[in-house]
Amino acid sequence: MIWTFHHIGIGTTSFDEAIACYQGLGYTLLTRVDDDGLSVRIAFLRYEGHPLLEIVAPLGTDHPLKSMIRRKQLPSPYHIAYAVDALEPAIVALRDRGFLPLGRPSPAKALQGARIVYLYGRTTGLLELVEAPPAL
Amino acid sequence: MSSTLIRMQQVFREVFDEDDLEVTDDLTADDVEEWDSLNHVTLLVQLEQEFSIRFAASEVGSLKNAGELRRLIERMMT
Repeated sequence: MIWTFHHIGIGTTSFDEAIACYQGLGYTLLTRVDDDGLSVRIAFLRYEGHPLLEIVAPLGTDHPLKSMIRRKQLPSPYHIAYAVDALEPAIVALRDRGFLPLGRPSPAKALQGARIVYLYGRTTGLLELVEAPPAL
Repeated sequence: MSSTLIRMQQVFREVFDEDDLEVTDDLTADDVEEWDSLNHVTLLVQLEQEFSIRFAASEVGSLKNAGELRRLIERMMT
């Protein structure tokens, strides 16, 4: 039942600097957007043969990284994401394993409107599902 | 304070990292600075573990305060 690995999410408050850091390491910036719906700034970077990286930074004051920033848990990788054909069956499968979704599935601007949902697991932390992601 | 609320309070204190947090039926997310969407789900997952229950998404989406959460937990335990 494991799905296709999609990306590693790295949370930071220094968006431009984090992008520049990975570009300096040889990564190519694929896309960067400000997503008002999700209250985050997002950039995707790729280095051939390596996992896709997502840089996530706060946008506005009511953003999903708030408590992690207050607890000084960022900057850090903080979620991994899988691509799925359909969100709802995957959510049910993870719910059966103790994960709880953070809200309802939402379109992600950085992924051309593909729906995403985050789920939290007690022993594993945050996991993201991306429904039928586009090629970046 | 009911035994359920006492056990809830221990979980709340761990999740929100506030040793002095007093959990009453009237407590809401507005009363706890750390109570955001991530910590809300963390709280629910930890409560599931504490009480050996499993919430349905439809049950936890409209909870208004800790009292409603307590009553839901107590219903699920009976």
